[in-house]
Amino acid sequence: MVDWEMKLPLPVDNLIPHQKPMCLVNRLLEFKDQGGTVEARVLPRQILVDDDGCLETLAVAEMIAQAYAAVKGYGDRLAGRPVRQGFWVGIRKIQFHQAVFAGDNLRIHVNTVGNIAGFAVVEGVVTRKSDIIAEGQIKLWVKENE
Amino acid sequence: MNKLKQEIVSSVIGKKTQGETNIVTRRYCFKPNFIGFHGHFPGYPILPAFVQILTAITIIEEHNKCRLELTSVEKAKFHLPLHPDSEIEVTCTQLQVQDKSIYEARLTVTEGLASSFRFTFAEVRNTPC
Repeated sequence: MVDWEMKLPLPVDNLIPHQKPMCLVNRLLEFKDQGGTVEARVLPRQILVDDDGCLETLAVAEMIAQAYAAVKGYGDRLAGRPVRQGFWVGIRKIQFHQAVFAGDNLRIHVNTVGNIAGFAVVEGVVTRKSDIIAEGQIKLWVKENE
Repeated sequence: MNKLKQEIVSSVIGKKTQGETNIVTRRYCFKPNFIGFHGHFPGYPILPAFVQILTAITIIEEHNKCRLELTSVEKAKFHLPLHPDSEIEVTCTQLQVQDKSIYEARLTVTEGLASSFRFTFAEVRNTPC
């Protein structure tokens, strides 16, 4: 039976510990066991957007981390557990291919490629329609529930 | 310049020091009201990892007196959580690797190395900061 409160798409507000203005993603669109897809809408007045409407390039790296947090948070909530804090431990490599502007609607696709003792290696790809904006691998640690 | 970068620049303490021609060091103190702590995380403010990288980028942009186009970040390790009011020394070194210019940054606090990473830019566009 479908829990309608958990029906996707779902705003990330109750899935990640981040809050505005440091919350850079908006909705969880897809969830699968080891990954998912998150939407981010870039708005003109965000703290990482210049006067000329250009988003700070590095912001998309944080979007990958927050997308993974949303996926984990959704998994936790499905399992009846509270949402946990996660921390960046490292970046293997992230490449940035295109600039992002206010008004853009981005999709962040994340997939867990390794998971040991709370440490996860996550592949992330950020797209705008069919264009790849950024891609890379990051390493995160998610706090265990107490 | 976006608001977060403006606040990073405002968090500088002391003067820029330049040892050798390819090394630049700056010190920072991010106060509890620094915007990067807002919502990251409620009740447990820590400096986001990407803000640590952005801080190093602002140093290089200031040094080059132009806005630079970030193309990659790699080999990043975040060892220590950075809390409000910590004094952080950021050292950026320009390296030449296979004819490419790479920047290496290290953030240190009293307790030791907090983070380190490498990043690259596209060819300079000469866009003012």
